[in-house]
Amino acid sequence: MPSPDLSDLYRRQRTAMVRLARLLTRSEAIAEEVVQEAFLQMHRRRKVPENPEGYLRATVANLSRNHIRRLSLEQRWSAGERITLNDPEIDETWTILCRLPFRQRAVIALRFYEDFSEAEIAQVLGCRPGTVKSSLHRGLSKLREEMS
Amino acid sequence: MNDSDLKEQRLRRTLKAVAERTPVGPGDESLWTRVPAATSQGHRLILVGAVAAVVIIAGFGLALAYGPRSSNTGGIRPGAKSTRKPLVSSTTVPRSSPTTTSTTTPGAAEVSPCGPEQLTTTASQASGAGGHLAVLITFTNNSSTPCTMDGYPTAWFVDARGNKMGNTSIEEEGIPAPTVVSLRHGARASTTVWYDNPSVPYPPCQTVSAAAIRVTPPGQSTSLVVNIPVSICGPPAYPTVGTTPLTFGTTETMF
Repeated sequence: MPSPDLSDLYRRQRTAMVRLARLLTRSEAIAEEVVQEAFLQMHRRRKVPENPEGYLRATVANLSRNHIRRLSLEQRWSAGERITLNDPEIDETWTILCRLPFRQRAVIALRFYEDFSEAEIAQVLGCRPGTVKSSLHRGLSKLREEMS
Repeated sequence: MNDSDLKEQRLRRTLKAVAERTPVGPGDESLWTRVPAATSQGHRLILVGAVAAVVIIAGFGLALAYGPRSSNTGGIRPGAKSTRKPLVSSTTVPRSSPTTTSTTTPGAAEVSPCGPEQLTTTASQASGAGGHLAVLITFTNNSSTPCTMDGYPTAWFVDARGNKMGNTSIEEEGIPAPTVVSLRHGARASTTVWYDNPSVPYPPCQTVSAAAIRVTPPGQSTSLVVNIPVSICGPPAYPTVGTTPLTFGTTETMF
């Protein structure tokens, strides 16, 4: 049986996690799978970690990255799977974001969608704050260059 | 994005629109709550299966990399320019997932990580992108013993006297993702060391001349010096420096 804490976390956080995973994986279907897997991994732990929200978010980011890495290896991802909104400005921006390496897109999503600080982003992605800073700078430079 | 509030607004709008495009359903808790916990028999079976798969794949990869070769290898020496392309056929094995890292490969030959004494290093200017310049550093296994390289080398610039200039490299995710690269005698692997372009200063900087890059192969404690004169941002800013995961061959990794 899942702990009451984990069930509570599922009800409170699932929507937010799926939304974040959509940005990280670039796919609505995969986002659902990633979040499901993240809860499954937490369920398998003997006890709920000290900071369940933080642990969950880091797990979602990690699983999303694994997914993107697999795609990179297999070269499977195609533009056909891209989420579109029929708003030229948004679709163009999202297309540029989709082309960024995982870490740059993740840092941008956490900074500008979740409004996290660089230190918080470093915790979620398990990297150094300096890496967050440089990834953010590089990702935004590319966005700026390519946005019309 | 401090130079353009409009673009930041557009970025925020895009992220929100994509993330919240369709409502997220309530989900089905039972999908994961019904799955037995980690110590159960079912999970163990999955783990055993995964371990077995890794052993088979790794064994196959090693057989490919170190198995008998055709007779055309006899006359090939490392560094002989005319015979570069058929020099080696190396195999890259995907890095094992966290659940299987403790796996050992019974019966397979032990291949150690490449030590600095086994490697010859060269550097050349690469193209870089997006406000960054890059240097391609190539490692050649000059020993007769096969060895592996896996992950990110560490690098920093040094001046003509060998003194460190500025920052130690950060790890920059590239495409492809990190893999274990197996190097026979004469085979080459490379990393792309990128750094801020001093001509596109952000923030503005005074340039200084670096004489070489000091680079440590992944997992090693001894570093190697590769001469390559480059102009970089000087103190106090110094450039951010990054390395990409080692890949087989000598192609610049885009980052």
